[in-house]
Amino acid sequence: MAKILLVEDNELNRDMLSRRLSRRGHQVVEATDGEAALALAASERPDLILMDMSLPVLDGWEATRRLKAMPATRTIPVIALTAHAMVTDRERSLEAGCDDFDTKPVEIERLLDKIARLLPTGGTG
Amino acid sequence: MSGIEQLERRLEREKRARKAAEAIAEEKTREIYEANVRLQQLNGRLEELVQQRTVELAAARDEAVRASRAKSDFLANMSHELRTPLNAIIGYSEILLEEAAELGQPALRSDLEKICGAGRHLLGLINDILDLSKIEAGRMEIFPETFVVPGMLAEVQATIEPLVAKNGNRLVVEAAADLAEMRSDLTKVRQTLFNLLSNAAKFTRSGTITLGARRLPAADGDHIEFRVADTGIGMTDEQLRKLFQAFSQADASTARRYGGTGLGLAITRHFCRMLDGEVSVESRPGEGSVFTLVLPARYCEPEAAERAPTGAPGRQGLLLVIDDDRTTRELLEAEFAGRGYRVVQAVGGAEGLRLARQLRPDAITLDIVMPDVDGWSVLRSLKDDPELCRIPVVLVTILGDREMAYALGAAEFVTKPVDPARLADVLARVASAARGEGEVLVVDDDTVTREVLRRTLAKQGWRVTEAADGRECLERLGRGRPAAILLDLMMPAMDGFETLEAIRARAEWRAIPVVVVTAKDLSREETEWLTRHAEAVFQKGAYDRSELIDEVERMMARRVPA
Repeated sequence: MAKILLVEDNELNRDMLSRRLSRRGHQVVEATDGEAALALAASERPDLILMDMSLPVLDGWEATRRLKAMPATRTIPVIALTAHAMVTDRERSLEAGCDDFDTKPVEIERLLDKIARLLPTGGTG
Repeated sequence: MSGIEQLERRLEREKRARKAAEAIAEEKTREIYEANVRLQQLNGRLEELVQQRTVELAAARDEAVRASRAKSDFLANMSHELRTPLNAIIGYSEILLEEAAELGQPALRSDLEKICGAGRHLLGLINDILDLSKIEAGRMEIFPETFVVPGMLAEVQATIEPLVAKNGNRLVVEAAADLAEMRSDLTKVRQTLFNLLSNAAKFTRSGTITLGARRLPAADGDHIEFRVADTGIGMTDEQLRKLFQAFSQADASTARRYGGTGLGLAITRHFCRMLDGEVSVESRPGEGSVFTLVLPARYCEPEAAERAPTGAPGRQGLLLVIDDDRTTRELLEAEFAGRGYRVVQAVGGAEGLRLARQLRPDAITLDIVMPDVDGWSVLRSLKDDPELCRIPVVLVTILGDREMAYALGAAEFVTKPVDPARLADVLARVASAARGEGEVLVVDDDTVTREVLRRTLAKQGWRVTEAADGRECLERLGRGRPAAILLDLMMPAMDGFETLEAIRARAEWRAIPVVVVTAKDLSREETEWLTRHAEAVFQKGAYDRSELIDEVERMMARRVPA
């Protein structure tokens, strides 16, 4: 199973997603803002990052841009989590270098699919 | 003789008669004249009244438009706020469902499913309201992309099938062989079809719902026709007339019986029109309904530049106006378009940055207090981007205010941790213009930062003097003029803003370029502090427009050709 860095400032959203991912055997590391995400991405080397886009301190777009600019973190796939129908957010997240996006509220099966597709070992590493 | 007398008498009579006639004519003329004057007066008063009424009507209209916009904004914000707790309700009920299954508690399952289902239903309604308010506020954007039509239809079919099956209906998809690709807003096309299909499913029992699609070739560009037909209850002419209006279902009892907000079709029609298409309907009570959707196969997007209604060639250059307030944007646009600038508007910080990257404007006017990405962050992103950092930026909300003139007085921004190459570049640019003597004054309360800056600057051949706060800075300036000042914003005793103000207040110091050094990512405290500061000034009222124009023109004239 994979090590997933979950970046989300809303406590309930973070708790929900983290529990559901853990239940499916993933190891979840949590961050509540973009800056903390950068630090954890470098120190924890997660297999994948789930990134909320509207974050305090450093927003998800900028955090992703920086992750993708650093050689050490460039290869970690990032899935952007954006609000419903905010197509602008979606476009911007891809522009910032996100590998995929999903809308909130998260449909867990759909998200797990996307996670599995982006993990190099098909979700078993 | 009597003949002569007779003649004289007749003459006399005629004279009298003529005089009488003249008197009458005079009298009549005067009456006509007076009537004319009265008429003119009345006319004048009428025009005055009309003018006055026109002004009143215009004001009332503006007021109504403002109120409507406020309502839409409120709805948009409200919907967003409602969704957050609702997401938690849905998410946690799903978690409980999973846990109930694991713990072998099937009794809980159906109740939890009801909570979850009701939550999703409510979410759908809120999303509809959000869409409609966005459309009404003119904030719904179109994102065209090229997609394979049969693929999209298959996706729609998969999503809608469970809903169709619920009422014992059968779904038939009739896709023509030549559909191929179309270019449009995929999300909106999908949502439109989904709306029509879920309506058909709602009003049909044990019947057939048909989703058809075909290509309509035309010399001036093909169209794609989508058809959603059902064998349901149908509609009367009266019901058809009200069909596409927001908040109106056939009647109140329909709403109770079939549910829904009646927003779906209003949104559908808005979407179709936005995509240069049209939706129509044919129906008869008891005989089902057929909705037909015709969309251009290739949606032509208006150029970003065309959003400027002036369409002026922009002889003077391109100005990007970033402001969340429409009135301010339109005011600035009118002002500058009239002067031959091409003006592009951005409604927020995020869009502003995107357009800045895309269009590379010659100058930017920037609002500070914006809901999405505030002006400080935008400014920082602009100044951090090597390709954009040379575009001059005017902070609009604070312009013209003496107290905050630092914003224009500050020659540059650099962010911590300071990149030596960028610092060298900035100093070379600002300090050469100031005929420097090779001395840079570093003002920062943090000794480590000062130390780092001192070393960096020394390596680049500058002499460095230091000051720990604003007061010390002013003291230093009293002893000699540096080529440039590096100024931290957040300092005890006398902060960067006050310091800048003090520097700018003295004629002999005014020309010293000041480079503001700020943390790359403002702390929450700093952001709040800055926002408070900006807001306080914002509330002080209108800035002087002529000053703003002068400032922008000055910057445009100064700009370096790319």
